[in-house]
Amino acid sequence: MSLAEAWRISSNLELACRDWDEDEVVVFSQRLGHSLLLSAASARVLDLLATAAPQTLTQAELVERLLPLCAEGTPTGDIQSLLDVTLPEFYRIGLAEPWINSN
Amino acid sequence: MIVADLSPGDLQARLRTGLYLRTGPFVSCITSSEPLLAEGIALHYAEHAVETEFADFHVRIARPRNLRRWYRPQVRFYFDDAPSFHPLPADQAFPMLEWGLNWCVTNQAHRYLIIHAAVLQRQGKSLILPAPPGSGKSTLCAGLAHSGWRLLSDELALIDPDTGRVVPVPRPVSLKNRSIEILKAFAPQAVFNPTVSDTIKGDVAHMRAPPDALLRAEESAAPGWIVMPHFEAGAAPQLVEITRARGMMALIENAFNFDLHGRRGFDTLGDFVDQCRCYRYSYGSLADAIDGCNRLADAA
Repeated sequence: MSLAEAWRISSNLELACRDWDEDEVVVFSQRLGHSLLLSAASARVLDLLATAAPQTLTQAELVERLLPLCAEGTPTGDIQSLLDVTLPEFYRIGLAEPWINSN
Repeated sequence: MIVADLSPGDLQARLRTGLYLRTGPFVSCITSSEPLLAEGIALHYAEHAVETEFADFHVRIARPRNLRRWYRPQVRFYFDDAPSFHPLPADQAFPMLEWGLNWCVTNQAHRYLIIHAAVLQRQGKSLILPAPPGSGKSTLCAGLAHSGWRLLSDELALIDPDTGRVVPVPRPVSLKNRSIEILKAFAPQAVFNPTVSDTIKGDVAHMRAPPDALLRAEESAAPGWIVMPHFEAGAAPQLVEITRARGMMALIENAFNFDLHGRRGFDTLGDFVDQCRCYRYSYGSLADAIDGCNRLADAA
């Protein structure tokens, strides 16, 4: 996925989340009808996409917004690597979808 | 009236027309002419109330109307007069009733969130043991039930979304194969029916629920611990605390009807896990396993 590509959360997911300040979070979607165990970092990505909806976010915008939430000195490359894994996985399970501007 | 108030003849007469048997929050109307079933009910359900009307489940254990009525006779489980499982040899009538009643609860009692888990209670808190078959759940459950823990269920954790508490369904504990002898050695006072061999689960025997479980059958339990047990012969005991998120996922993955409850079910389980500590527990002997659970309760 290129940095120019934008992502948005899938519509009408009706998400709920349980977070106990741990490394892992449980997310539930009423529409998908199932629950997922996400790493806290992946859950932050999902939260950013949900907060931005209906707007899309590019990978660069996601990196920019995730950076202040990470430990000081976290290399942007680590965040990009996280996104390279997380976003396609979100797409596979129906949580998010890529959006390409055809204009 | 309780089952023990009925003479063997009275019990068989009731079973012919329908015995209204209370088990926890449910009443089952059981009809059967099978002598082994009557013996099993007399042994395992002696202290259970006999009701006079209104049943949640209407079940019947009867011989199918075919040649097998005379040659290697079989029995069949009927729910609302519809045959619900493959026939089994007639000497498996009581295990069939137990498996059938579990099926009734998991398929009908949707006012509860139903988790495939054993549940016990100590220090006012429930210990939930969610696990797939073969993990040693029932063996550990039976051992704990004879080690100062109150048995709520060996198979079905019923969480009431209105209260967030676990509702007891104290019934016989189903033990299989080597577990039967292990439990008989561990708790000589435990009451078992004769072992039934060659069932689909191997050798099966049921252990009667201890008296305390039946006396407190209407007393629900607060959340406490979620422990995922794993028996591995000879392994050193290893109790590892895991995240609440993993504990919640264990409940969801072992739930029979989570999808039916939707968002409310998610919130109910989330609130439940809020009040729990969660562990994965590998052990190589029943004594080790019980010791680890006791340490959890003692530290509470």
